[in-house]
Amino acid sequence: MTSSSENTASQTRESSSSERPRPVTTDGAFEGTRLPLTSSKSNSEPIKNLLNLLLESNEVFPEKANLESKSDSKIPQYPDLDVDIETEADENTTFIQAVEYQAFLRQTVESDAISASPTDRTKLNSIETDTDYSSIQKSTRSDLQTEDLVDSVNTLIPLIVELLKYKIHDSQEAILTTVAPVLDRLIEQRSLEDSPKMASAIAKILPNAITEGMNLSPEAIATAIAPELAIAISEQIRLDENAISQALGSEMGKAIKTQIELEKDAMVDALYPVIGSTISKYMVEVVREINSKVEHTLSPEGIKRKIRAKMQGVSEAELIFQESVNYHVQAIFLIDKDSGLIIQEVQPEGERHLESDMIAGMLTAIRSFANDCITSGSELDEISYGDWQIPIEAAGYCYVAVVVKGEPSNQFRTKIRQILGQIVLKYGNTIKKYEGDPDTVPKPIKSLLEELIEKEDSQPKKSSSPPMLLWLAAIWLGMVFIPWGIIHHRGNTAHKIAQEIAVQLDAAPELSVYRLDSQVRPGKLTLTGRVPSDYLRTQAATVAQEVASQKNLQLDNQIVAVNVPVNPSLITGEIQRLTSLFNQPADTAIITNYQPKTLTIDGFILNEENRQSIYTAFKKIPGVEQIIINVATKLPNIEQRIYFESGSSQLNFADNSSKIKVVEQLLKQYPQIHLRLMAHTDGEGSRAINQKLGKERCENVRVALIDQGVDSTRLVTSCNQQNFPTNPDKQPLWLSRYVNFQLFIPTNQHN
Amino acid sequence: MVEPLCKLSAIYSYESAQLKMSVITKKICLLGDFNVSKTSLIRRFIEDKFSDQYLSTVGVKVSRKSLDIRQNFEIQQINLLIWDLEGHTRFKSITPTYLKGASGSIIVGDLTRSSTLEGLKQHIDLSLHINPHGSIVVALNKADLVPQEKLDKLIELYRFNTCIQGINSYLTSAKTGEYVNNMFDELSKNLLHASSR
Repeated sequence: MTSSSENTASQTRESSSSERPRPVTTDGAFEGTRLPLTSSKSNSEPIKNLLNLLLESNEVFPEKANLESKSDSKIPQYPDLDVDIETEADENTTFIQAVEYQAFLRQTVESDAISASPTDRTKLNSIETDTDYSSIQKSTRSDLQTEDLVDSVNTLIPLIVELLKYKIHDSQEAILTTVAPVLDRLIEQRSLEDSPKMASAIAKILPNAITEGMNLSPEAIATAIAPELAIAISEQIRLDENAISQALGSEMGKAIKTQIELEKDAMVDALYPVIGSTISKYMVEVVREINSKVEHTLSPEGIKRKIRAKMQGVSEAELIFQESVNYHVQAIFLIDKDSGLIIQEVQPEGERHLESDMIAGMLTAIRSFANDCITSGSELDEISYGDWQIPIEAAGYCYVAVVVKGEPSNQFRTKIRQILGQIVLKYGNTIKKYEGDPDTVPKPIKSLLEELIEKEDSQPKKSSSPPMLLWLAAIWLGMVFIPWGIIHHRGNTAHKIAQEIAVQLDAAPELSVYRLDSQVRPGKLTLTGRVPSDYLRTQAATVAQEVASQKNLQLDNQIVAVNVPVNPSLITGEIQRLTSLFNQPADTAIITNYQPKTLTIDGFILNEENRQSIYTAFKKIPGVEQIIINVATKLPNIEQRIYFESGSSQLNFADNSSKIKVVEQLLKQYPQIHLRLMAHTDGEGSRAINQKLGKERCENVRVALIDQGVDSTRLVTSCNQQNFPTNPDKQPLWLSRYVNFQLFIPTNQHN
Repeated sequence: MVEPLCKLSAIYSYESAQLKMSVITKKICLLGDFNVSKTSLIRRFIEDKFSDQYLSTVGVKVSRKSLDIRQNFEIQQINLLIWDLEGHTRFKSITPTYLKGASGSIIVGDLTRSSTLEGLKQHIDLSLHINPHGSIVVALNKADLVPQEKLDKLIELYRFNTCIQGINSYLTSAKTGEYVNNMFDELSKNLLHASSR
């Protein structure tokens, strides 16, 4: 409380007078001289004071409120103060001070009225009545005496101020409405008059004010600042080129990321013209490269290159590079994109010097034309005329054009791009500011560009030098002969192993018939071939395994067991052989008939045991799968007898032709069987006669049979011995005179 | 009378023995309506020749000439790359990309055709738009074809001699060579001045 009042007082003092104390009576006159009515300044002075006060009070109010709340502790001070001021006022205090004091007192009393003790209040009241009126009256009187109304008004201003202050405290709303209309003018006036002071006054609260403003209504602040933001930034860029970019730089990545998250498509659209064309350019080249590689892979050159790449142990790409190196760089220009001015040029010595400026100008014009008229967003990347090429690579604010004779490789292009990339990265800003003065161009650019010439030129030189050639030839020969030698050696070893296996296989009798091949690859032995059974296959594998395990080879048995379709002639031969074999003994007469897979056996097997062995034997023949045995165990009997007249050997055809016929049929039926003729006599007459007759009779029957077509070799006569009648019963004699037949199996039929 | 404000101090020279500084290269563009003799002006400047034949420039033609300019008691060699742009017609405007990076522009008008003179302002604006710091001179060409009294009147009408913009106008004639070299020299001086700033 005290501090506030004192502060106010001193402020008033400072602005109104520099000398004090001053008698009240002279005060009016003094004020009059200081503030002449006519001057325009005189009016502003009080206003200024008022404003000062307002500003002060603004700052003071909270404090005051604080102090007031602790009224109990304050009250005891008043009497002391009261006394001091009272004495001062009595003696020579200024009117202003007096008024201040009154105002102050009123204020305090008013605020403390509720809480203060009755005694205190009465005390204060008494003081009030004592001092207040007396002093005011006194002053009014003195003013009237001077009769200067203006002065009196002026002198009253502080009073008004204090009253205002009081009023503010009392009812802020009312004061606000009163002061509001003029406040802006007041501030304006004040700031015109003493702007630094005003500024410093406002400055203290300005950051807080802005913060508060932002808290209250961020939109309003934004609206207020927004229009000038761009200007502010560009102004800052003008002042310090790098400050803004430094400030924003770190956040740029995040900003872009956020934007991509928020609105991906817009970002894509924005970046497409730049990235899209770059990527498409790159892709076009890559695809072209791949295409040409694919196209040439199977061409003679491609194959040759492949072989060479394998031989020399270098990549194919490197060889392509070497092949296409037969070109020649004549000039390299680094050109400003917009103006077409040469930033740096490299022209190898001894070349026809090109008019670089003109070329650069025209190239730039062509580039601009192409960009404008043909397609915007894409780049002109090559100009070619006849044997000459000008590859162009653009980046940043410049581009590189290389004048090349011959067909440059893709690697060369990549190299250009790399070097341009380095240049733009390091010297992009310098290039951007380039204005035609070659002194401003950084020196390293030239050496960077020169790399393009050096690298390309050195390549063919090297390869053309004789030692290099020899060296290459040596490598070539080495590459050819060493693998050849290895292969040859391996071939020999493999061949030896294969031979050994062949010998082993041959040694096994059952396998010697079949053709089995063995192939030896590193670490592996492969057996191929065909055998008719699994047994033989396993047999062969066993034989080969012995050799393979000696040589540390893995056996791969690829022998196929097949049912070999056996040669039919072999089968029939075998069958015949067996047939004739079995037909040797006298108890067997068989005929075999082979139809594919089926063997039919007809005939006679008189011995039952033989029958089984015959069956088994035929079954073993490959190709015979089924055997039909159709054999008899007994030879058929022939009952027919050819009877003769007594003493005659004459064959009676009329009686016997049917019998002969039956015999003949029988012989026809069993072609493997032979027939024996036996003569019987009746015993009449001499032995010689009978013998003779028997012989003749046999012979006649035999002839008769031969006449019927029976093979004579199959007929055997046994008529020499005398066959007498076996039954000497009362049989007629003619029944003893006959020739009968007996079938027999001939031995060794086919020999 | 439209004349350069300052006396020319440029010296033509193809000897560069006395030069110490490196050659500065600058791009300048000639623009204007069609058939205002832009190409002829350049031919006069470079080859000192003139032909009555009219050959329309297609796209752009780039020419070069070196000048020695005396500047602060030194001689600075300047290499002018002169871009002769296709003339502006009703159907086809000048390609702005050609103007990019130009340090100076010569806007050419034909004194015998008032429409070309009216177009000067547009060309100046275009040029300044693309190169805000570029120097500009105006060539009012074919001065030999216009009688003196009419010249004065025309100059009154199309006065671009505005010192604030630094744009000088020259009454040139490609045929007689009048003020052609002066104009190029003046422009070169402006360019050097601008770049040394």
